[in-house]
Amino acid sequence: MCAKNKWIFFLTLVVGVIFAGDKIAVATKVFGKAEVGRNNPVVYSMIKPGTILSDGDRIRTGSTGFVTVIFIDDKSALKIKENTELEITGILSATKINKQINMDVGTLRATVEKQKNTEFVIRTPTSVASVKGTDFWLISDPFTGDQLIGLEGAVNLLNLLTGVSIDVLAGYTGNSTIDGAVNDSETDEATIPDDPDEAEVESGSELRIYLEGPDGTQKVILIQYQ
Amino acid sequence: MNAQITGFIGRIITRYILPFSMLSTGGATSVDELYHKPIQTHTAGENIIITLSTIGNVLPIEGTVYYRTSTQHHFQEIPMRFQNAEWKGIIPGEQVVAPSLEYLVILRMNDTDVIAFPRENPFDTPYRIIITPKERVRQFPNRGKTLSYFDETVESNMMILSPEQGETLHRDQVVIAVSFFGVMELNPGSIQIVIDEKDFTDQAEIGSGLISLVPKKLKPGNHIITVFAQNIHGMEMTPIKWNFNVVKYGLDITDKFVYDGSLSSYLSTEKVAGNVLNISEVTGKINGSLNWINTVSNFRMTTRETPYQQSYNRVSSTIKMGEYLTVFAGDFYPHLSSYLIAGRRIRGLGVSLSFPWLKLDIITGELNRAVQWRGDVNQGYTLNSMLTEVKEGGGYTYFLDRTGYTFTRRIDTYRLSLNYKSTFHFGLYFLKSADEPSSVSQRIPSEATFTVDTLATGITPGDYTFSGFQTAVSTANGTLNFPSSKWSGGNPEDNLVIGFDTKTYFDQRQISAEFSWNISLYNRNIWDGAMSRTEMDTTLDDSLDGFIGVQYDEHGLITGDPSMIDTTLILNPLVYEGIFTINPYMTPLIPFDFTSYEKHPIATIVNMPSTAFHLRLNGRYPGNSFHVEYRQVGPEYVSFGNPYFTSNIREFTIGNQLAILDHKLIINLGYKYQDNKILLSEVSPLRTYTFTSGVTLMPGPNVPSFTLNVQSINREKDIDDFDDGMDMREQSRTSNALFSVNLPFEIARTKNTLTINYNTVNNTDLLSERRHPGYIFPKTETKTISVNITNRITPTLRTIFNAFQTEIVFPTAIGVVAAIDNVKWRSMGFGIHYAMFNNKIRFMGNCSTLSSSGSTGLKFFNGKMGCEVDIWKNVRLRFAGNLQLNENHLEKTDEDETENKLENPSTSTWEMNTSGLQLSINYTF
Repeated sequence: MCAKNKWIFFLTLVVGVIFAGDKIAVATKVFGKAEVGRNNPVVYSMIKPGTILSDGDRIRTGSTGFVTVIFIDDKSALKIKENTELEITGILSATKINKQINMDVGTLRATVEKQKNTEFVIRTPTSVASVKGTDFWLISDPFTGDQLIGLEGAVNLLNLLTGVSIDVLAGYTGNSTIDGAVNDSETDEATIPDDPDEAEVESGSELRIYLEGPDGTQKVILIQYQ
Repeated sequence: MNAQITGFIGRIITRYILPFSMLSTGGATSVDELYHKPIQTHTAGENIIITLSTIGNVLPIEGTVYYRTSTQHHFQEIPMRFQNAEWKGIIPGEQVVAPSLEYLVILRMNDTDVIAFPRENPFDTPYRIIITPKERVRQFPNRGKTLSYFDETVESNMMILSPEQGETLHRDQVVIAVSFFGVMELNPGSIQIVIDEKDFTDQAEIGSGLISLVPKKLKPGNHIITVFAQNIHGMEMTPIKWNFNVVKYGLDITDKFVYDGSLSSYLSTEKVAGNVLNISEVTGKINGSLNWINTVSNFRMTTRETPYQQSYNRVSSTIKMGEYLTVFAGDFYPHLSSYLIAGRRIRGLGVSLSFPWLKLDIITGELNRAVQWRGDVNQGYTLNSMLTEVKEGGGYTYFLDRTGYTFTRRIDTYRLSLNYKSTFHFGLYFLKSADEPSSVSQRIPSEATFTVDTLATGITPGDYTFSGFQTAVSTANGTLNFPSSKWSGGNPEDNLVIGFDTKTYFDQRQISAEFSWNISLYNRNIWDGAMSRTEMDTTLDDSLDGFIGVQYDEHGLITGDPSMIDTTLILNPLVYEGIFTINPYMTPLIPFDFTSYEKHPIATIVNMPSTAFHLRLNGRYPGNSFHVEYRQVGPEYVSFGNPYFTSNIREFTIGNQLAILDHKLIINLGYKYQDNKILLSEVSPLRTYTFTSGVTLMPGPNVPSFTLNVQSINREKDIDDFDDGMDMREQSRTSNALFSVNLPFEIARTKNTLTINYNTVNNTDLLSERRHPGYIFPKTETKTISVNITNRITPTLRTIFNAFQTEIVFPTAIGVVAAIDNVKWRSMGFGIHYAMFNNKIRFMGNCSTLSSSGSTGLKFFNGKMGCEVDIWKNVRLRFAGNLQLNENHLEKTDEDETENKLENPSTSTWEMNTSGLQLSINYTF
C-alpha cells in the first residue's frame, strides 16, 4: 500500500469513527435472508445475530427473513418479518433514547416498554404510530396504507394526509389508508401474523425437531399434539 | 559460629525490635527475625500479595493476614503460605477498592507467642494502603471467588437483553446481549463475561453501553452466564447472572454432564537455619454441570495437616440448582453480616434459598474442631506442683491438670432477607455458637508427656506419661487428683447474637441509607451449664426463699432494699439451655442498667454494652460519592463468627470523593472521630480525630499519574492522676504523608514504568513539655522511599528493578533518660521473566539484597530462580529454588571497632541462612 493510499485509508477510518452513528440496538435473532444497510450511499450486508445497530441503520428482509432487534436503553423490541424495509434512528441522551422507526414497507411487531419522558415512534409513508408502552403488529403497504393490530396497551395512529388520529386499543385493529381515512374495528384473530420468534421455542402442544445437514441446511419437523 | 551469630542477631532484635514487635500472649520469649515492607499504594481490583521474609532462625507455625476495606467494620482473614523462605498472603483483587484498605499480619510462633505487624496495636492501627482507582483499560482479576458468597457490592443496574432467563435456543442462534446504557460510573474496561465459569470477554464486543457476544458453538445443555463489572472507583458491582438452554437438534432431552477442572501436586523442601521443612500438597478443582445443576468442588491435602492444630486440609463443594438454591458443603467462608459472620471459615453445610423477594440462608457447622493436645511436653497435661500437699495417713496428693486443648466450637446461623422491588431490603439474623465440653477428653494419647519438677515431692523429676506418672504416684504411696472437667487450659464458651439490618434507596438509587442493630450474649464459662432457679435464688443471697437478692436479719425479717424478684416469675435457665447458657459467667448479666434507665432511658438503651449498631448514608452520583456514618460497638459485644470486630468503640465518619475532569482527577476528603466512652464508668476515654485528604491525577493510559495522600491523627486521653513511671496520658499527633508517581515511558521500543513512592510518618507528643524526663514516648517515626522500574523489552522478556530505603526512628532509653535510636533498612532487587518456544517455557529469576545500618548491621542476599514448562497441552511443570545468605558480624565492642577498622576490615562472613526447592505439576482437564 503506497503512502497516499495509507492516508486515504486512515482518513476514512477516522472519519468513519467520528461520524459513525450512536449504537442504539442489537440484533439478537436472525432467520433467513436479512440485511443491514449502512453508510451513504447505503451498502447492504448480511445481518448476523449479535450485530450492533446504530442510528441510521437500515434493515431489509427477504421473503424468508426475520430479525429481532432490541434497544439498549429499555429493552423495547422490534420483530421484523419478511419483505420489510425500515430505518432505525435514535437520539441519545444520558439515560434514554428517543426512537423513531422509518418503515417503508413490511410487517413488524413492536413490544415497547413503557416510555418515560421519551418517544417511540413508527413512521410509515401513510401514518405515524406513537407508542408509550404496548405491544402491537404494524403491517405497512405504501400503496394501500397501514394496519395496526393492538395486542396490549394503546397506540396512537395518526394519518399523515389528514392529520386524523385514533387510539388503537388491545383487541382492535386500526386502519390508516392512503386516502386519509382512519378507523378501527375488532381484531380478526386470523389476521394476526405469526410470530416466528414465539414459534421458535417449543410450546406445550407442539414439538419442533431441527435437522441439520452436512452442508449446514436446516429442516424442521413440527409435531403438534393435543 | 551459628550460636554466636544467633546470639548476636537475637540481642539486636531483642534490644531494638522486640520492644515494638511483640504481642506475646505468654511468658516465653520469641525473636522477631521476620521482615515486612508495608505496602503503601496499590491499584484497585488487583490482588495484593502481603509478604514477610524470614531473615533469621525463627519459623512461625502459622501466619494470617487480616484486612478490611474502608467501608468494612470487620477484618477478614486470609491464611498465609510459607514458600521460598517467605510467608505470603493474597488479598483478592475484588476486595481491593478505593480509597484505602487496611491490613495487619499475625504470625503464630508457637502455642503461646505471636508476632504482629504492625508492632503497636495492630488491630487498632493497622497498615493502610492507598488504593488508586483503576485506569480505564481492560484489566480484571479472576472473579470466580465472588460467586462463592455474598460480598459487598454496588448495584449495577445492567439489563439483560438476550437471551431471556431460561430461554431455549438453537446453538446457532445464541446471542448474549447486556445493556449498561445509562449505568452510572460503570468502568467498561472492567467488564468480564463468564459462561459456565469460562471467560468469554475476549470474544465480546463491549462499548457504547452494550455488551454483545456471539459465543462459539456452545454445547447443548444448560449454561450460566455471569457478567462482572466494577465502577470507576474500583468497587465490584453486583454481577448479573442468568441461565439459558442450548439445543442442537430441537429438544435435547438427554441431560449431558459436562465437567472440567484441575489437579496440582506441590512438593517443597526448605531449610531454615538448620531446620528442614518438607511440605507436600495435592490440590484439585472439579466443575461439573448437569442440566440446571452446577457444582464446584475444591480440595487441598497437605502434609502440614496435624491433629495438634486446626485443620490445614480443605475440602469444599458448592452445588447450584438454578438460581434459587445453592448448597455449600465442607469448608466455606460465609458473609451474612459484619456483626454476625463475615469471611470466617466454617466446616459444615450452608444453604441459600433465593427468590426475587426473599432469601433464606442457613449455615451449620464447626468454627473449630476439637484438638486434644498440642503434641509437645506440657501441651496436654500439666502438673500443678505448687499444689502438692501432704495427705492424711502419709504420702502426697498430686494435682494434675489438662491443657493444650481446643473444644469443638459449633455454629448455627440463620438469615432471612426480604427485598421489596429492589428498593427496600430487610434482613433478620441469628447466630448461636458454643463450645462442646465433651469434645475434649480427660485422657489423651499415651505419648503425651508432662514435666514433673522438684516441687512434686516424692516423685523423681523428669518427663512422664500419664500411665508412667500413675505408677510413680502409686510407688510413692500418693494420690492423684485429676479432675474430669474445669481444667486450666480454657473454659468452654457460649455466644448468641441477634440482629437486623435494613437498607433503602432514594433519588433513583443514588443514595442509600442503612441501619443495623445487634445484640450479643456471651458466656465465658459453661462448664457447669445453666443455673437452676434454686441457684439463681442463692446467687446474691444465701437464703433459699424463692426471691433473688433478699437479705434477712437474725429474726427472719427482710433487711435493706425491699425490692424482691420472684424466681418463679422469670424464665427458667434450664429450659433455655439449648439456646443459651445462663449462669453467673454470662455477659451481660443484665442487658442494661435499670438504675440509669429511669433517668436516661434512651441513652441507656442506645449504650447497652452488648449492642452494636450503625447508621450509614452513601451517595453515589456521577463524579461524586459521599459517605456519612455513625457506628457504635459496645465493650461487651461478642460474635464468635467475627472475632476481629473491634469493640468498645463509637465513631462518626464523613467522607467525600470527587472525580472531575472525566474522572482524571480524584479528590478524597475524610474526617473520623472515634472514642471509647460508651459506658459512663469510662472516666478517661481515648479520643481520636482523623483527617484524611488525597488527590489522584490519572490523565490516562501511558501518561504519568500522581497520588498525594495526607493523614493527620490526633489522639487525646486525659488522666489527672498518674504515677511517675506510668504516665498513661496521651495527647499526640501522627502525620502520615504519601506521595506516589507512576511514570510510563518508552525507550527504543521498550515499554517501561517508573513508580516512586515517598512516605513519612511523624509522631509528636503534645505533652512532651509536661512529661517526666524519663518518659519514653512509645511511637516510632518512619520515612520510606521506594523506586520500581518495570520494563517490557520484548513481549517475551520483562524485567523489574526495585529499591527502597526505610528509616525508622524509635524511642529507647539510656539509663533513665529517654533517647532515640535510628535504623535504616535498604533493599535492592532485580527480577527477570523470559518466555521462549512460543511461551511454552518460561524462566523467572530474582535477586535482592536487604541491609540495615545504624545500631544494627545486618545484610541479607536473596536469590530465586524458577522455570515453568508446558509439557503437554494441559500439563504444566514448575520448579524453583531459593537461597538466602546472611552476613554475620563477629560481635565487637565499639572500641574494638574503632581500633581494628583499618587493620582488619573484614570482620564478617557470609553464610547460607535459608534454602529451598519447590516442584509442582498441574494438570487441567
